[in-house]
Parts: sequence; C-alpha cells; structure tokens
Amino acid sequence: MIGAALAFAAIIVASTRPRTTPPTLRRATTQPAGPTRFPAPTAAVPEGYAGLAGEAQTLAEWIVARHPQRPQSTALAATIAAEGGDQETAATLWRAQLERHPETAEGWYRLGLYAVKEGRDGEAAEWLERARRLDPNLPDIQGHLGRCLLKLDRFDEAAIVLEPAIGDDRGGAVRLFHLGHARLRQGKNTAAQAAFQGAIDRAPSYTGAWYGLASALSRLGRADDAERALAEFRRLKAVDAGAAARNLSRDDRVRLQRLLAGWYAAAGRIAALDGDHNEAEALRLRGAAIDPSFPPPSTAPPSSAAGENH
Amino acid sequence: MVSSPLHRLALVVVVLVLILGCGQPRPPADTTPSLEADAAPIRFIDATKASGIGFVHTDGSSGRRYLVEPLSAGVATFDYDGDGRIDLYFPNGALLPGAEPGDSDPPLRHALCRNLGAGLFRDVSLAAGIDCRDYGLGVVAGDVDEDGFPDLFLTTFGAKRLFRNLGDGTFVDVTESANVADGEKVGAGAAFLDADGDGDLDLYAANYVKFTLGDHRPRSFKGFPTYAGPRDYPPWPDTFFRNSGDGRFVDASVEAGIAAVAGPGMGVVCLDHDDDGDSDIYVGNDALEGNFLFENDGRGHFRETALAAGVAVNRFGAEIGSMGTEAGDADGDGRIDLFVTDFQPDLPVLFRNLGRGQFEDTTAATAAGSGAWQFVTWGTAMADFDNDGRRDLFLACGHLNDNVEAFDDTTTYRNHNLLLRNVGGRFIDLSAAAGLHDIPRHAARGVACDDLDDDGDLDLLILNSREAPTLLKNLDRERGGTNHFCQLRLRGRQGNRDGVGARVVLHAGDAMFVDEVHAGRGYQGHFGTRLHFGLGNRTVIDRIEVRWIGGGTETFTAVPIDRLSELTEGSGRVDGAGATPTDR
Repeated sequence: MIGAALAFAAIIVASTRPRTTPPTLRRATTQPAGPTRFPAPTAAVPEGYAGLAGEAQTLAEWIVARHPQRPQSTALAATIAAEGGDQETAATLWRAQLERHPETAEGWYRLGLYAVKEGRDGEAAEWLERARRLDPNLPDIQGHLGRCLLKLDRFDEAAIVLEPAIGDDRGGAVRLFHLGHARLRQGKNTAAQAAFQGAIDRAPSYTGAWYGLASALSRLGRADDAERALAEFRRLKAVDAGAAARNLSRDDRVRLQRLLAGWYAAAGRIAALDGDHNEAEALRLRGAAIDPSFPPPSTAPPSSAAGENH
Repeated sequence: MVSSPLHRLALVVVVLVLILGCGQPRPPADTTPSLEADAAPIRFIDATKASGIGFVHTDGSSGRRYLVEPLSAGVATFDYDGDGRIDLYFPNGALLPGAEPGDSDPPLRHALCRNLGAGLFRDVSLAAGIDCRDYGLGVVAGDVDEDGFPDLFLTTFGAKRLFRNLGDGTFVDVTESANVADGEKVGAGAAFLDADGDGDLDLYAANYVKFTLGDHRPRSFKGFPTYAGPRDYPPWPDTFFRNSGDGRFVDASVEAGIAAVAGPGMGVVCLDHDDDGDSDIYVGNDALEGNFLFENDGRGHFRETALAAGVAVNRFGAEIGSMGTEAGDADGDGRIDLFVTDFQPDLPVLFRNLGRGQFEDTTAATAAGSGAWQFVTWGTAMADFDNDGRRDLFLACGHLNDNVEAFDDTTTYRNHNLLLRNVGGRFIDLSAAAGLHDIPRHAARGVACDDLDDDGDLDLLILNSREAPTLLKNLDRERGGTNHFCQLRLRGRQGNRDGVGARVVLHAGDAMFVDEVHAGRGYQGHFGTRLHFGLGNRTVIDRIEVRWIGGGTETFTAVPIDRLSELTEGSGRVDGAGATPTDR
C-alpha cells in the first residue's frame, strides 16, 4: 500500500509550508491502489517506540485508503499524525474532510487546536468559533475558544464564551480557571475569586487555580487569605515537582501502546460500520495484542465530536 | 509517530485522491497590517562578514548529547580598554568526551574582540592574556578593584574564572587569589552588584544543576535522541560572593540568605524592584522552582520573595522555562519591569512593575510574546531601537534539539530572531520588516545590545550555538532617523566605579525616562553599561537625576542630546565624552 501511495506521490506537489498559511491541496489525477487486507493480527508487536510509531503510521495510511468514505477514517488518521508531531499532515487531512463535510464541528475544532499550537491565535479563534457555531453545546470547544480569546486579550469575549460553558464534566475546572482569568482582566475580582474557588472545589490540587485565587484575593485586599492560597500553591507545586521527577521518561512507550490499541479499536469500529466484520475482528485482535489491558471495543462508531482529552 | 517526509506524503496523497472538487477551507483573512521594508521604523542588516569577527562557537558535541551542550553561552559587550568603543567577548565551549578535534582546527578558546571603529573588530584574546579554553557558559564585566577598567568574570562547566583587567590592554587570571572558583559546577548567568552599599562590587553567580559527565543520562523523545533537562538532576544553589575590598571575595551564600533555596538558574539581572535604593537580584530558573527574586535589605542580606511579588511564575501559575532575564521600563511609567524568555511553546513573560514591590504578568495585554509561540527564546534585550522613547524587545531564538523537526513540525532548530516594537505599550512583531527574516537563521543563544559603531543607535550581537555569531547593525541613523537620543556613562566616586545599580531618571519636557546600570543581564551575558535613552523628537533634556548605590541622589543639568556624556558622582558636572557619537 505504501509503495503504491509513494508511486502515486510523484504526481503530487507535496504539502509544503509556509507555516502561517495552510498548505494548498493539489488534485490527484489517478487513484492509488487501496489495501484489501490488514496484516495478520498474529504478527509480533514491535518492541521499541519507533516500531510502534511506524505501525501507527501504517494504520493511518491503511484506514483512509480502505475506508475512504468514512469521515471517521480521516479523523483517525489525523489524530495519529498529530500525535506523531506531524500537524501539517493532520491539518491537511481535516481540510480535506471539511471540503466534503463542512458541517463537521470537530474538523474546525482540530484546525483551531493546530493553529493554537503554532501560535496563530487569531486564526485559531476563528476556527474555534466556527466549530462552536456548529456545535454550540460542546464545552470543550467553548473552553478552548475562551482560552484562545484570553490569550488574545479579548477577555470580555472570553468571559461571554466561558461562563455558560462551565458544565459538569471534568473540564469544568479548567474552564472556571480561564473564566477566573478573564474576570481578573475585567477587574471583576470578586467574580474571579468565585471562579477560581469553583475550579478548586472541582479539582483541589489544581495548582494554577490556587495561584489565580491568590491573585484575586490579593486584589481584594485580603492579604492573609492570599498568602494562605499561595502557601497551598507552593505546597502543591512541590508535590507536582516530586511526581515529575519520578516520571522522567519522555519516550512513553506504554502510553503509545495504549493509544495504538485504541486506534485499532477505532479502526475496527469503522470496518464494522462498512459491514466488514472479519476485518473488524482482525483489527480488534491486533489492538489486544499490542495492549492486552485495553478495554474491549464498544460497537459504537468512533465519535466525530471533540472530546476532553483530544 | 515516526513521520518521515515520505510517510507524510503517502498519507496526504491517499486522502488527496479522495478529494475532487470544491475549494478547500481557507483560513481567516490575515488582517495584520504589512509593513514594507523601506517604511519599517526599525531596520537591521547583517554586518558580520565585514566586521572581521572570526569567532565560531562550538558546543563540543560528539553526538552523545550531554546536558551542557545546548546551553551554549551568553555574550558580552563592554569597553575593556577605555577607548570609548565597545568591545566584544565570546565565551566558547570545549571538546567533550567523544569529540575529536580536526587536524587543522585551531584550538578552541574564548574570544575577546577589540572594537577598531568603523564596524571592524580584531580578536586580541592572546595579546590581552586571555587564553581561556574552559567550557564557557556565562560572562559578566565589572570593575571589581575600582581601578577604572572592567574585569571579566566567566561561568563555565567547571570552575568559575575571574580575569583582572590591568588597564594596559591585558588581563591576568586571578581566580585563585580572588577565591571565586566555586568548585566544579554547571555555571550560568552572573551579575555584579554593590549589595551592601560599601562601594565595591559583589558578585552573584547562578548555577544550573548537579551534572557531571559521569552522570550523563541519555534521553529520547518519541524515539529520537534528545538532551536531558533540568528535571533530570537536582539543582545547585546559586553562589553569592562578597567583595572584601582587598582583591578577594568571600563566599557569603549562606550568610546572605542566597543558599536557602536552589533552582536551575540561568539568566540573572539586578534591579531595584521595590524602589528602596538598593539592588535586588532576579534569577530565571529553568522550568523548576519558579524564578527567584532576592529582596535586599540594603546590607547585603536577602529574602526570596518572587512568589509574593508575582514574578515567580506566569499568570497561570506555571513555571517559566526561563533562559534570559531583562529589566527595563517597558511601559514608561518610571518603574523597572521584568521580561523573561521561555521554552517553546510557552510565551516569554513581561512582568509589569505595579510599585510597592508587586508585579503582574501583562504578556497578553501587551502582546509581549508576539510571534514567539513556536520558538525557544534565549537572549533578550529591552532597548529603544528607533529612539522613539519606548523600549522595544529583541529575542534570540533557536531550539535545543538539532533534530526537533523530526518529531515536532511546529518549530525548527534554526530560527529567525524576533523584534517586537513597542507601540504605545503594546508590542508588534516587526521581525520581517526589520530585516530579520533576510538574515541567515541560526540556533541563537546570547544577545548583547550596545551602540557598537557609535552612530547613535543600538546594534545587536548574537552568539549562535555551533556557528559564527551575528552582528546586526541598526540602520536608524543611515536611513535618516530623526529621533534624538542621549547616552550616559556613569562614574562613581564613593560608589562603585561604573555606577552599577544606580538609577537614572531623565526628564525631558513632559516625558520621564528611567533606567538602571546593570552588570549582567539577558541570557548569561552582559551589555548596556553605557545607558542609552531614545528621546523621540525632544530636543532638550531638562535634568537628569542619578540615585547612586550607597550614596545620595544627584541632579545633573545641561546635558546635551545626541551624544555620549559622562556623569561623575558628587561633581554635578556633565563631561562630554568626545564629540557626538557619529563624529568619533
């Protein structure tokens, strides 16, 4: 499959940067030969990080060729590319998806997140706003949009976006944290204090929220309370530092293993959607071989909506 | 994942063939106004080749990726021979285990380059008695023996070094007799200050982490080899040396309260953050512990107060991957603010001084991090490059990892540097229009900023890791810049000779400009002993107030514009230091 794709690549102008503008897609003139069968699930699991990464890359290429009409295929391939540090490819995949399905909120959301990562905050805010218009009730989109607006110092808009988006999910503490900072910039220190306190109530070890609370209390003239909040911030930071020192591996093979198992599960669900149950089972088995602890896949298709931890 | 270009292409190709038809999603229109280069208010050219600077930095790397390699070094600009021209000092690395010197390669050594005028420099290291082959990391200049000539202090991967300037164009290594070697450590930034107001310069030397070659820890990220970081080793406490006044220093770290805390130190800058008349110390720590602010009690005893002052972490409570630290009045309110560079993808941080020793992170409100999101930023200078009366920001950019493109496509190892112009208190990324995109990209580290060609505008010197430095000439005067300026050299009598730590307030009409004399700043470097004030279109300086460390406040009048003047403590007299800078 890779060979066919590479041969085909010769007629494509690659997606080159400049970074500040998205790559231009060129239209292909022939169709690559798509794969028909996934490698046997009994093949040995790669031992090293690079081997796992290579297999993930293969899975990404395979799924979009094998199930081209499924938007979930593009989503999965883009997720794998972005995880591998290849935002350019991930963004290209999402743009392609959005050409066909501009109503896909997740696509705009992803483009927004990639733009955030590259520091193009103005662009990111527009992508995220578009995602929000398509899916106005997804707190994660609102949370990232609010944060992005805050970075742009558009704190009034940030507060408007964040306030109704606090929600009950575990991302609520983060959104309260950003709302607190928007309130601080607005000079609404009591409201800021309430927001930071709300974040702490949900996540008591949220160090940043303690720092924000100290800032708000200090501005309210409550120096002793502010000092107590700072002391707690200091204590939690020491705990964080200890945890970081115990977990210095930046080649997290275990994490990648788990991710890859999840990606196989997602690929299996895509295959099942197309009625190819043998293929779905093969993919499931491969995922289980890579990470036996991974929970069995549900029968539901992969979500096309943004999740908290994407 | 491992994303070779071919892999990327293959994946994109597969999807492209599925897409036939309608226009793709477009990004929102870029509404940022573009500036044609000719109209740019600030413009630099690369003057390195014509300068005669032959120095090439090495990190001594062999591919083993020792922790110290990517730290590279700061750089210094100072007038070592008192001829009125500002000279250059480049620390250099040294070969580390596994690296083999080439047969024809000259010995690796630091370089002292004398300013010959007309933009020319000559390496005079050996003639000046500086044959330093230590693994250099930081440099600061200060007249520790009060003889009128600045001495040199170096931090290294190893023992620290002090070179005494004999005043005849030569230096002598007095490390041992001065008692400043400080064992074998990974050194960092350093600063001279008169901590106790006794008239001589004490010394603060930051240390990084407790790393030795024998304790090397190979690291990788997403399957690619990378460098170990500050979390891999415990930090060293920093060192505070008190000047005994007899040519010797005493390690007073414990007694002065410095050793009570430890962090992986990098840039150091001293400032009177609380306006109480003494010099405090601000230390950037690399991503751990938060930055330190040592508040001076006026007698050289310190208390670490960064968290309470609001300069330990950024506004979100996150530690800053602090590399360079800079102090200056960014918003023109008469208080000295702080600026700290940071690791990608976090923004550098501008801390606004609110008074009463309190600061707030105003990075978002001022856009002081514009354009820096993708870059690891190191050396920095807060200086007025167009003499309009507002201090702009220059940031040196370059990644740690020379292979970063393999696992992160949002950044690169070699980057262009950043120039952020101060427009009414907000910063605009002017890098492209200022010519910085036209200059070869490097992995930049230390930055020094001074008027190196004495033409009345501020030039830049950048130390690039593993490569030759970059000398950027400011074209403001050549392009007909009409804004005025004032340059000042302070001469202490009761206080330290160069007025280090003195606060200068310049009054011109309705405007007030404030600065302090620093000895040590940016990323482990030194610059700006000669103060430079842009005046805009103001043609008269009403008065200049100087508050000397350990002395009183003194007012100087009849200070001319558009030239360098010397203000001598206790005399009230303004001495012209030659003709206009342009004429010299």
